[in-house]
Amino acid sequence: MDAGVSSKEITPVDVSDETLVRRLLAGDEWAGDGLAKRHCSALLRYLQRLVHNDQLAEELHQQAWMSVLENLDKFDLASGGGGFKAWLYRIATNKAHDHWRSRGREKRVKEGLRLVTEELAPDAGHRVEGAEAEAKLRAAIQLLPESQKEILLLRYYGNLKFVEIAEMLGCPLNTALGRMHKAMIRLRQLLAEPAPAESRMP
Amino acid sequence: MKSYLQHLENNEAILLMYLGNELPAQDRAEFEQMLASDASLRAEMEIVRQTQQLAFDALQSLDAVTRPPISPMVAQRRVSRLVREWAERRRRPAVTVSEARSLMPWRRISIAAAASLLVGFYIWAVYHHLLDFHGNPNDNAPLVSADPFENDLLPNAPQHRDLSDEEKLALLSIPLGDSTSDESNLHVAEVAAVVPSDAENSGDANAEGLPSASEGSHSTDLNPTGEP
Repeated sequence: MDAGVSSKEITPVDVSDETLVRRLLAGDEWAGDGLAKRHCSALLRYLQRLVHNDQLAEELHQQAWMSVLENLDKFDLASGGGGFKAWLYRIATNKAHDHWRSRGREKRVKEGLRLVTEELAPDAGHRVEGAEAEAKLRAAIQLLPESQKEILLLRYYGNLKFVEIAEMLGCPLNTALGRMHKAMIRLRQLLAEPAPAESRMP
Repeated sequence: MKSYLQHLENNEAILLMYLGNELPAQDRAEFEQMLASDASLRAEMEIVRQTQQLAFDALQSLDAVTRPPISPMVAQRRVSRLVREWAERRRRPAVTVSEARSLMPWRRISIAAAASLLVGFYIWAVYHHLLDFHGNPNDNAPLVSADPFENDLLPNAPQHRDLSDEEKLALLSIPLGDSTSDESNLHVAEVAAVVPSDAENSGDANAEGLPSASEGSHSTDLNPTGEP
């Protein structure tokens, strides 16, 4: 199926990511389009939820793909460690970590300010979208500890296996599963709590 | 196949792996036997399943009401453009070290030629600059200055002949100044009109007591009239 058939002529769903990578490396640019079509949307959402900043998410998304392309020769097609998708999400996650490291202090300050202001006075975006439930959901996800949230988002948006997530984050499988479980419990608790706006109502 | 049941620490971990269909077949069969025989484990599994579903539903709901940072189509186009640029860079043959060296001789030749021209021009400029002060020893053309004493210092200066009284008076009437000034240059023509050419030149320049080079260290900077 691989040899002699351009990715343009086939449905991208028919082939694996690794096959598309192989074709891209062989000079078939349509294979790259197939990979983009397959992963762009979910990766953007993952980064959006991870960094809570649309502009930054977009920037990191671009950086992640650039990094993927620049290092595509080094991607081990034979490795069974999650394949291309896990590798893509790992690079994107690392980009977010790099950003946080470089702006760690600034992030912490802004994070604190943002959480306070969002609880007390929802921003314009919230008002436009107008959904109280959405504000609650957003706040609940943001309030999750970073390590727990990362695993939950990788699981949901990347649809990665726990083994792949653990390998990606460099932690034992039990740790990854424990964090996932805690994230779920914490999210349930946060969603069960009354919304901040309701609590301020007389 | 690696067995996870022996390594996973608690029920929650096993349940998450089971619900995610990530347990190997043997582990899965073994765990299903446990579920069949343990009602509390089944209840626990239901809680984990619901909690997980709640979390995923929350994310799905959030995605449904919020826009992505950019449209997925725009994001795909951007990535496709990155792919094109990357592929273009890959197609472009990289210049190897040996190729780069093979290109070097032309550069070296042009650099060497430019350097030679610069050095040549510098030598020429210095040489002519020196001539402007000391005269060209190979130049047969007579150098005549408005300063009669300066002429004595020049090695190829035309020798003075005995001047008549009228000629001496004419010389003395010429205002002498800085030989480099424009004014003194104007007098060169006048002096040339008075001083005869080489062909007519004969006799001892010092016969009338005119100072010679041996009598003093006259230079263009010194006042030839002897005035303070």
